[in-house]
Amino acid sequence: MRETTIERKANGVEISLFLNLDERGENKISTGIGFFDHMLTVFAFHAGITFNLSCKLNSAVNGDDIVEQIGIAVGQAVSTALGERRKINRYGDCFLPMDETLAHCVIDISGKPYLVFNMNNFLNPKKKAGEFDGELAEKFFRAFVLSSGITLHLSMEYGENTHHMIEALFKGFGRAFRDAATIARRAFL
Amino acid sequence: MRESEIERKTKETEIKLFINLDKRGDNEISTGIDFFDHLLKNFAFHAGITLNLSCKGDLEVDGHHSIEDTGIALGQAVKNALGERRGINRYGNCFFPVDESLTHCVIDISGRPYLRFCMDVSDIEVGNFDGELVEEFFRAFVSHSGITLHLLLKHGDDSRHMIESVFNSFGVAFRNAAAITEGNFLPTSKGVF
Repeated sequence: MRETTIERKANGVEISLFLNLDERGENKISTGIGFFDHMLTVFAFHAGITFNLSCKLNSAVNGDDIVEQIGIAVGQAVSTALGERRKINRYGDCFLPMDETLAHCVIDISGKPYLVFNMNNFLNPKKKAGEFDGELAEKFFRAFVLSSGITLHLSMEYGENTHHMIEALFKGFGRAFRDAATIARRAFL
Repeated sequence: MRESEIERKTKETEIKLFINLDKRGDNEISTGIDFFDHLLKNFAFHAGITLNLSCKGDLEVDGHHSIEDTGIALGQAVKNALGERRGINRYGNCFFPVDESLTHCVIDISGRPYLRFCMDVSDIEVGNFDGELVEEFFRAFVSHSGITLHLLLKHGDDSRHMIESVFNSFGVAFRNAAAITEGNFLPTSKGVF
């Protein structure tokens, strides 16, 4: 089983995280930002993994720090759980529709951190979905690639609704990650 | 076996449709519009399903009612046959070329009807098939199946190739989305479709 536990304390954010890449489980996620909890839950659900995360926040901490620290912790956990990366599919790709929106996610578990975050002016970085927005989504993905060593391309093919667009990114990320992290050869769907 | 039978009769059309999502079949299809029969056979072939369909419609008016009502019946049959949707892959994606034409089809068996239809094939005529009705067909299908469907014709010149690539891509993407890939698991984080 590829699993790991991470404890991380930095910038006023204290994170406990458990990840199992090989078994679907209950995903208990509490970050202090409701919409971000929802995003990490749909990521874990579509990745078919078990992901538990809890945070203790000191009173001065802001959303930027929470999202960045969680991105770093998730990236570390993924990298550790993947281990030597033997026999993984390595590449993953997903076009993820959500009503009027279409997001495209491509992953290479390459050891080389790289993020392309091309929203093609469809996703306004400042427009809020709950206490979350496109800028925070980018912050999360950038922290994640840097600490996991994953090459990740996220594109918004088109879309209108902010909630749909951000959710399509996280779902597409989940599906593409599942393909990339899968062990052994499989028929492509 | 995920299968369904629909009989639908109105003053405009009389449709009998049988679908089996888990078994390839002969696909006996007769709507009175030859090119539409051909497109539906291609769809069923690439979806790897059985689709038997007869539609007796008011073709003396035009093909509109026959094609739209076939879309309604197919949508109803797909929805019934999918049932609880346990274990399905849910998402499907296909780039399908036919010679110089290429269509991109993306599906989410979401429970939410949505059609994004990006092409202009409305001026095309093949026999008694009117290209305007392609969108009508897919809109009726998504409305009654509760499926999110995006169809984008990326490029193409030949009328038949373009429309065939649309239906073929729909078949492959549908096959991927409807495939059972995770046992009894219900693939929605909401807990219900």
